[in-house]
Amino acid sequence: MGDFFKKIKHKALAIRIVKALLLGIAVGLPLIGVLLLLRRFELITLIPVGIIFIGIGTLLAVGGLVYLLLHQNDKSLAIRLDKEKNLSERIQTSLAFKDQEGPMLDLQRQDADKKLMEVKDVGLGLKKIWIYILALVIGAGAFGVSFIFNPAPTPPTPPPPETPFKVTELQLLALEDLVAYVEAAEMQDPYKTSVISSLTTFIDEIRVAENETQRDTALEKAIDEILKQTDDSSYGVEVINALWSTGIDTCRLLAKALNYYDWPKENEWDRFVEKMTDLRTGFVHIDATTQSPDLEKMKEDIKVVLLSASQGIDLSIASSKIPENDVLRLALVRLSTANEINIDGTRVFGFSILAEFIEKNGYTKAQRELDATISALSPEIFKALSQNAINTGTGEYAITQLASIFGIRAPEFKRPDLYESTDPNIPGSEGGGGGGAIGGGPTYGSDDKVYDPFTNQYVEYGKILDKYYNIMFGGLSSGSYTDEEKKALEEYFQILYGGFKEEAPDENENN
Amino acid sequence: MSNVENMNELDKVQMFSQKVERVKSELAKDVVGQADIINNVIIAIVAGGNVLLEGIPGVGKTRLVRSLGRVLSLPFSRIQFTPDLMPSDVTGTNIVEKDENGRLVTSFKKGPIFANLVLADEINRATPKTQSAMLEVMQEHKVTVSNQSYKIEEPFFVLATENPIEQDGTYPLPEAQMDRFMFKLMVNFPSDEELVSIVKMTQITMQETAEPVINGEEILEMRSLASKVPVVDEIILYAVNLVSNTHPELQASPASSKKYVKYGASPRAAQGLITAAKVRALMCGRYNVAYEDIDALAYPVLRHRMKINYTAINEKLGVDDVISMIIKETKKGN
Repeated sequence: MGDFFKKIKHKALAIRIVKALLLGIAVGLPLIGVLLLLRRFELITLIPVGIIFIGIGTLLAVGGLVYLLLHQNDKSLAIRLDKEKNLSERIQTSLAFKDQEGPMLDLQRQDADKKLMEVKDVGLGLKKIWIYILALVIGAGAFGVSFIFNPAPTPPTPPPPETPFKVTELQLLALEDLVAYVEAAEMQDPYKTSVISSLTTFIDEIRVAENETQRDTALEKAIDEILKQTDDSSYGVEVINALWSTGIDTCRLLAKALNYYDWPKENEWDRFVEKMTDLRTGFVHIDATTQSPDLEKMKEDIKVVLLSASQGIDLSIASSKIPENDVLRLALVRLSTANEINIDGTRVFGFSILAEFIEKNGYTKAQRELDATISALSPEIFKALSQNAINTGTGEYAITQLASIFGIRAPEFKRPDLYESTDPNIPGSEGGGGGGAIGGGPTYGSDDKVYDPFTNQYVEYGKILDKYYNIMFGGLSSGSYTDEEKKALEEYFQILYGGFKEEAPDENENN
Repeated sequence: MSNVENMNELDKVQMFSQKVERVKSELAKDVVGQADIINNVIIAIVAGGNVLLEGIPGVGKTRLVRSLGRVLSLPFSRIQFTPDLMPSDVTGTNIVEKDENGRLVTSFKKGPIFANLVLADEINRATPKTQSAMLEVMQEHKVTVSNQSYKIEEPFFVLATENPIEQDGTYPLPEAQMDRFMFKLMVNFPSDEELVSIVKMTQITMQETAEPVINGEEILEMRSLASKVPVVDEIILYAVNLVSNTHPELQASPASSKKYVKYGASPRAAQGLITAAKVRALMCGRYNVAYEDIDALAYPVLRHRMKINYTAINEKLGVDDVISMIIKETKKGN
């Protein structure tokens, strides 16, 4: 074959490559556009680089396929040239006999080359390349068009529809009762004033609240404020925890005595005295197994106990960060370190002084002084604890009632760690007294356990009553009851509260 | 060594073309028009094939052949075929005669077939028996009489004419005889212009005026040259397919063949196609055979070798129409 045929071969190859590229781009480009479009519409999560790689892969795959499909060997090229250029099979013949020699074959080859060179426009499908260019233009157009479409801006997620809320008369009535109760309570100022202020602010807010969000916001704010005042008004929990944490027997006995959360709703004093008596016995160190006790050893033992008790109290006071002017702190300081002060005609020696006193005056006399000291300081400690209990109880009651009136769950209140113990020796696990506080804690009715259908357990009556009460108020708030049902429920719960209030003289005054 | 042998291939090709053109121009002196017929006759002569010319009386068949005999500068004989013509009248016969010594001896007297160019005029007027006498000589270029074969000098051609079969007093040529003809050429009635020219020409003289321009040696050299023309396998295959497709009994035959053909052409048709195509290629100034050569020669090569059936006749289709269909369908299948 002549050089001209080789040139044509190269031209055919070039055309084939160009066509393959054009068609590959024509397919790859819109594919990239479509993928980018889908990505913009967030229908796929491919990264742009990945999309470009997919497009290039498609270009290579389609281009390669086209390249292979358009492939033609020398023979097919010769047949094509003969056919398209009317060369009367000259090129085919020339190619078929290229390896043979002969004068006639030489003439034939020369003739074929001559005729091929005379062909002005070899073509080879170059004219049809416009189809590929058109495909490329369409592909590019599709690519461009894909950028025209933009996802509609995502409408902001509408806030969940507010549940309308309107405070009921019954709730307002209950709130006013609550304010009156706090006003009448013996809670110390400025805590009481702050709690009342929070409650009245809440009432103002709840009157204008139109939905449950506003209601909950106001409720949360009021509860947080009251909770803070309650915490500020009492250091009972911190002191008791601190004493318990010392691990000293006498300090733990004192912690049990101070644990007013465990006091029954009546005869609190007796309970306190009982526990203080337990404390007192913690200092008695008599060897009852022998007829002639070793007084000297007993003296030393009691001395150690007194000193350790004093140190435990001092440490507890320091760690609880109880304010210096707090009455409980003053009473505990006296119990620890009072040096012959006079309380209602009784000489009072703190534990540390008694430890020194025992050296000079002997064991028996020291025990008498110890009795006198505990007896003289007990009313003072009780009074201080009572105030703490009132402060705590009033605040917690106000919070519990707020939650109850609006049918929400009341927050968990602080309790001494020892209160949670299951150890029978730990106060709080004994007896099964209610979890309320002195002077206004949410303890209702009797302490007998009743069946709780919500937990399938037997619980204190007061706890189940709270749940019923919350359900009742929830129903009232949502308007689930008829007027007749509302009235019946109101009367029923008033009777229940009435019974409770009659048992709590302080509360009766306020309700 | 002749002058022709000293030529190079290109010179030979040029001589080939010149000779063909001179034969054409000489024939044109005596024959008006009929260019295709003349071309095909020249192709057949160079290819070494016999030609059957068919046409109604007076269209110039005999004149063409006679003029050709003059132009070719070859020993020429004419046999007028008649129903009473005997085979020995064609081939020759043994006769008894006295020798120099007066003894009776048998000697072979050559018939008119012993020439380089034989005009078998109105061959279909002879009986089949006499027609068959042509079989051996046309195929093998020899005559056998009384177990004695007599070779005929090359080149040897039979140019036969025949009247259309439907005329009275004719005997259709047997298929075997037909197959010996490379071409069957249809000499059509001349056009008005050609007829006018013919009338004018014959008013001057009825004698052929063509001059001899080519001899036997040159014809053989042209044949040798043509045989060297290359043919690609695809074209050979195409020619073979074309011939095969005339056979309706073959599974792969096209629909037209199955519908219109009674029987198809023999393998000689394929041989004749390729041989003639090589000559045609050279005459067209090409050095290779093309599909167009096969297509052009398919009609004269196939038309007497295949027979159309009554369906074709009923649909007023001629054999050339059916060949056209077969060519078309063969191209489609190629």
